[in-house]
Amino acid sequence: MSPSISSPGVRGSGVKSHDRAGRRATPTAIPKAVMVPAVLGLLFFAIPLIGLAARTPWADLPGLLTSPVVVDALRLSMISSLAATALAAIMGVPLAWFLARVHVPGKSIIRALVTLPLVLPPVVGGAALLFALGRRGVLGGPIESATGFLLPFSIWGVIVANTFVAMPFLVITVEGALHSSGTRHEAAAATLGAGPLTIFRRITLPMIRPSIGAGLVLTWARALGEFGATVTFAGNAPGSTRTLPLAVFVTLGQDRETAIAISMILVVVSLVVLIALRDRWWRNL
Amino acid sequence: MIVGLAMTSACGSDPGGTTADETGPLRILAAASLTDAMTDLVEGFEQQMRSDGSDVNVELNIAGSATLREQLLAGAPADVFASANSNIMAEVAATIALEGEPVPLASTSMILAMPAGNPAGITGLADLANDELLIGLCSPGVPCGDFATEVLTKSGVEPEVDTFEDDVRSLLTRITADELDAAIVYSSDIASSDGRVDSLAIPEAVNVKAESQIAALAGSNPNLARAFVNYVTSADGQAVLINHGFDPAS
Amino acid sequence: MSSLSQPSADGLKVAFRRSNGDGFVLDVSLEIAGDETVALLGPNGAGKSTLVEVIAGLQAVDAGAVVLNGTTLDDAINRIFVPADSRRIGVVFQDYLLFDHLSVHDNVAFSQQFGQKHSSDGPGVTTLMEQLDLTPLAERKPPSLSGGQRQRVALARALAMNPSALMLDEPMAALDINARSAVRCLLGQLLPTVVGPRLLITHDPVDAFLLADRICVLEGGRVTQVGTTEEIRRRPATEYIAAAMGTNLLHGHNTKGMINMAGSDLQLHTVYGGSDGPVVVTIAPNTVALHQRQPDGSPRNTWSTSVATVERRGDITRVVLAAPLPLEVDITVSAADALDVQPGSKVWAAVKATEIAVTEGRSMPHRET
Repeated sequence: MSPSISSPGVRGSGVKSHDRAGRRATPTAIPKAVMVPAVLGLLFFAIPLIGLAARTPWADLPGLLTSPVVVDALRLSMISSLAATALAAIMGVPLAWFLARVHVPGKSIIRALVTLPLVLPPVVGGAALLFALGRRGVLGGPIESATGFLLPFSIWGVIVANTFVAMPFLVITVEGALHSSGTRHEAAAATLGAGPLTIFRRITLPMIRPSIGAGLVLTWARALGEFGATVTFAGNAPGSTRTLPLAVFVTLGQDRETAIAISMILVVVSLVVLIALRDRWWRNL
Repeated sequence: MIVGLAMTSACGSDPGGTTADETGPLRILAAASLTDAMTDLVEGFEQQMRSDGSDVNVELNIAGSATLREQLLAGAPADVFASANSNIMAEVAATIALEGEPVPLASTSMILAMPAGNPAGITGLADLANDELLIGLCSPGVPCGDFATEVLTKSGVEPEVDTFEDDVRSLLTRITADELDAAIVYSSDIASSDGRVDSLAIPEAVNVKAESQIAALAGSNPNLARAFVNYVTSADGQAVLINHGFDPAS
Repeated sequence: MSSLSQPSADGLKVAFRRSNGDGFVLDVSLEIAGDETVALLGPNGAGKSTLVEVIAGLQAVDAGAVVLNGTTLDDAINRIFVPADSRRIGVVFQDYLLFDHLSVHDNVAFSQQFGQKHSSDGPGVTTLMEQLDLTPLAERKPPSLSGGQRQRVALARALAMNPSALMLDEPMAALDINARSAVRCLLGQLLPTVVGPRLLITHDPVDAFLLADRICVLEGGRVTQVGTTEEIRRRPATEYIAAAMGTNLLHGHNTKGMINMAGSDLQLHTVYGGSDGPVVVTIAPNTVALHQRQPDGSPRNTWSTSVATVERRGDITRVVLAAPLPLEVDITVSAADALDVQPGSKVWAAVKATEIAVTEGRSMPHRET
């Protein structure tokens, strides 16, 4: 792969004019026909949160959140979501680079495959993981008989399920950034004598660092909230596979206040992540 | 799970009405442990009604008893509720108006289930404490989970559980797929497993009588609901249950 | 030209074809001697930047070869392709392509730090930073620099690897007028000191006149003319060249807007406000008026001269004047008939001060061609 100068660099000026357009004053007349459904749409998202907040036992919250059920699930969630994020970084960034830079036939199919978990019901993903990596799975069987190592019903299974569902967020964020940053700086580095790996490490990665950061945070948030693939592939046992979302599911029928308290953690974390990332995420899409 | 926010108006019971006046399908919520039996019972009920000259439309909703309880408490429209234990039935009855009292539907006991051929070589309840094995139970709070806990407590075994499943069918699926080495399920589940599951009886001394209950609800089809409850507790209905490995209701 | 008589191993030789898929074919044959600067002129879309990319190894040829100092860099038949990172060809890109995440110093030192395949016997990062006045900016990041400063960083970055050849793609296109003249001045001093063939893409004949030894014109993917500024100006091969280069470029010396024209005692009044010193004067052929008698009135720049040659070019007549100023003048055919211009006829020439464009020149004498 030799880098090529293909797309003309118009980034600087393009971004500026976009900003200018964005700051243009809003037209004074707002059509009601647009505003009414817009407000309804907003309420549609806001009301469930209000419902959750209204049922939250705020005074008991510190006690609920320090109960062993929550602490166990929180610890497990943190470890597994961070490990999944690390796995996604190791595999996802090179994968995004491959999708953005390497020209191979059928790339749209590869891209569809990579982004499939974004739209696939997580439970289907979990089932597929089970058929591949479970004890009787295509790969899982031979691995277990050779090493005795089994992914399901362990934190490793949770990490795999989280990575499967969350990594596409990193891949599409980073691929978008790679497309918009173009290949011309990489070409310039090549003329200065830098080899392909040096270019990747010293030019490509630093140039898209903000997007990698945004992608990692999103990936982490998605992994933290993963339920369907985890419960299907990794099972549901306190201390080893019962993450926060699974704990919500289990406690909802028995101990509603705990379920609400855990839900509030997840809502707050997700909101903080989305607000912190603001425009970085959708701008790159 | 999706819980309907808007309910069809519950008109209350209308003792003078006939089934012909009642509208909408007969909505039955049944515990997962009753899956196969309930499917046959519905078929038998429909046949009986047809031979009586009325055509009924039955909607069968199968899930874990605890899940169904949440649906009912959230206002899901329903005419009949079959719970895998009496506790959950009692919790529902405390909030939801019933059409008459809950009645015993059938009973069964708990049993150890292993994948076909018992690859892990399970010999008894004590093996559930083996950390090396993959053990599954139903979640606490779910009838089959509570019954299993009762059995384990009686036998003094502290199990090393690898996964808690939300209903007995999910647990049994993990056994048939050989994802788990052993699980505690209902004896009646073995009957419907077509030999894909090996089982090991749990001594009577530590076993429990797992009695499922059924009740007609004060929904939009109270008479039809009562008729269904009458059918399943009749000799015909009980025969279907026995055929599926259940013991008759006491 | 001395270049053509030098050993063939010295310098850059390109003779290749490359089609880019959408029907455009670049078919170029060009030699640049080891101590020569060639200006590459051409309209937009002529393939100028593609030529640079092929030479730098960012694109491969379909047929033909690229040879630098006797080493084949790209050869379609013999399947030789030296990748860009091993060619040691310095490129200053039109939009600089500085690494925004690195400081000015690290940009300049990039080839020394990461271009493992390059020897570090170059002028040295510190020396270059001093020379190009970048030392005070060493810790700044490129986005905080002005256009002229960025251009200097790009230049220093390319020179720091001690390139075997230097490519400059429209180095002044993105600059405002002041920065442009400063960079032009800098290039005038720097380019002759760079060892190896130099290629300067430009669309400004003044740049070509000031900075290059020869001019190569590229149109529609093909070289339409190669020669010295004078050769090309006198005998433009295409309409584009005539339009781009058919202007009078003259050396002079500025003293407070009054220009003493080189090689004559003629002084021209201008509105130039630049500093005193050497300048290049540009006078468009259609801005010079010819009269039979000394004109009275506004134009202060009038002088008596005679006609050297007369040539009909369609609707206009190209008149070349004799001493004191060898100007090319375009007048309408009817005006030429009214004046009855013939070689040897006496005429008065007039040009308005406002029509004379002046560009800061350079102190070292331009190589005579």
